Amino acid sequence: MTLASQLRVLRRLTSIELVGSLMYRTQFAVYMVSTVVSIMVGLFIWLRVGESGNGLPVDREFIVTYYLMLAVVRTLVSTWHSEYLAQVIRKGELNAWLARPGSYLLNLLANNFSEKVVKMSTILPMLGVIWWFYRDQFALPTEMSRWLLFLPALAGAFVLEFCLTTTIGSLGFWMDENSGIARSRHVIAMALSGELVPLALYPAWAATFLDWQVFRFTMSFPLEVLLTDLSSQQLIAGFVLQFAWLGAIVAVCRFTWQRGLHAYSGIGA
Amino acid sequence: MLQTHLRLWRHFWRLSISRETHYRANFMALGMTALFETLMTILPMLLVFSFADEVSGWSRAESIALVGLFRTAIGIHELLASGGAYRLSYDIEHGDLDLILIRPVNAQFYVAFRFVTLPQVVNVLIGVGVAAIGLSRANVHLSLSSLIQGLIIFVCGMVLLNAAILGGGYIAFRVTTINGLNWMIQDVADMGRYPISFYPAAIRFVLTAIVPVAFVTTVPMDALRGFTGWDTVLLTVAFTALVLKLLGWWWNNSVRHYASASS
Repeated sequence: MTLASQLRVLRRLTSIELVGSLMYRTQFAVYMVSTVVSIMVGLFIWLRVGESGNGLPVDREFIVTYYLMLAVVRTLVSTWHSEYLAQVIRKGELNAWLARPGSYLLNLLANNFSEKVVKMSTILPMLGVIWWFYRDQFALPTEMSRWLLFLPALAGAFVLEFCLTTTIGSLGFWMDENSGIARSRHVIAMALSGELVPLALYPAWAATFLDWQVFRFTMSFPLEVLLTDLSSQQLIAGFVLQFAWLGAIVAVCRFTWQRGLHAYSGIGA
Repeated sequence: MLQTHLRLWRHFWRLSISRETHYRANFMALGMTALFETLMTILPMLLVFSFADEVSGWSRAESIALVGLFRTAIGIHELLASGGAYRLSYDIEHGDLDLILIRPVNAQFYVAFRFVTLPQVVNVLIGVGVAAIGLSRANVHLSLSSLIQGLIIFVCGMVLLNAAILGGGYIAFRVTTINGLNWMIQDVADMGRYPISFYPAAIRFVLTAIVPVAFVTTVPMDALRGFTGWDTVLLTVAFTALVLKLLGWWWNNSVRHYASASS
């Protein structure tokens, strides 16, 4: 299949998935309340620490902007199909897709895009309410260059996330149950991606490790590009590292998926 | 009646053990995850206290003991009740609840406790360990009275927390498309990993009265620290009894909205 025809299939699948997603608007609203709640915990805690502590390395403005933008970035970047993909493999539901011209991964991508549309339309009003309470401390950069760099960092973060999730889902070709691995990855990623605590608040001795590890590039890096004054050297190093991780994870994902398809034998794969 | 339910509960445990022996690698992974989750709950607390010696009247050791209580509570919930609660909306949507309602057992009990998630035992043990370490390092003089008070409040808190999650799940009888409600309540409950005095007043109210996770974390810790008396214990017990009564009523009322498959 050519890229153009794949994109055409993706567009059609996204339209179909979008209709399905719109049927569950209330459910998505509930999911988004969960997202907002879990992220706001960090906001409240670090604002409180800032009030009672000896001085954080970041100011209130950074904390407020970081957590509000984190909710947006998380919604745009996150993927959730690892357990679902493993289930499709285990139940032999992949069979139908093997006879179709498009890959099943296109369907996963379409599902992700369509749900993002619904989730973004749900989460933005909720964030608007929180923004109203903290509007004096919310400050987005006005320089166009930061936004132009933020977009590729965000796109890279999404591809990384998608490939990591697909790789774990592909373990379903060999394992009966992958939920433990999926959950472990989720827990580790929460700590190392900057979702739980901004990486800027970790101790200095952990900085080198945090700067190099893969999960930084799935969430924290786009926010760093947007909200912090990274030097040109830091920006170049960051994008090079993100690109390197992308290359590695995409290769692992392709390898796992293709080897899995070879091992697949319908039900009982 | 009680004996029947205890026997049934024993069978749930046996089924769980049988199931987990089929997925040994997954059991190990979930056990490891429990360890990671505890570390991830302690990590922000350690980071918080690297910038302040005390936050809203809580020291580092006291906060870590609170994290231990929180992990223990979540572990007990996931061990005993979360599987059934999360499955409920699916059963309602697909009409599978029929098979439960016709059984000669209390359906509310069956729905709540039918899945024992054995790997969560690790979470409970880790939680108890962390709470013990935190308490031993905190400047807290434990008396028998404060221990009993803390234990009673914690047990009541477990009942209250599970009642909130189950009660939220019963909304699925009326709105079948909301099967993420349990996740939302659990995410709100997750806020209990910090003392509630860290939060603004409105959130404190939610964590005490609506999703009462404060009763498994902050309030028992306050009892252990000697900040509460028997009046708080009595109020908690009375509140729990009231909530249990309401939960029974809410279940009976919700089941009336069930119309079998595709309801």
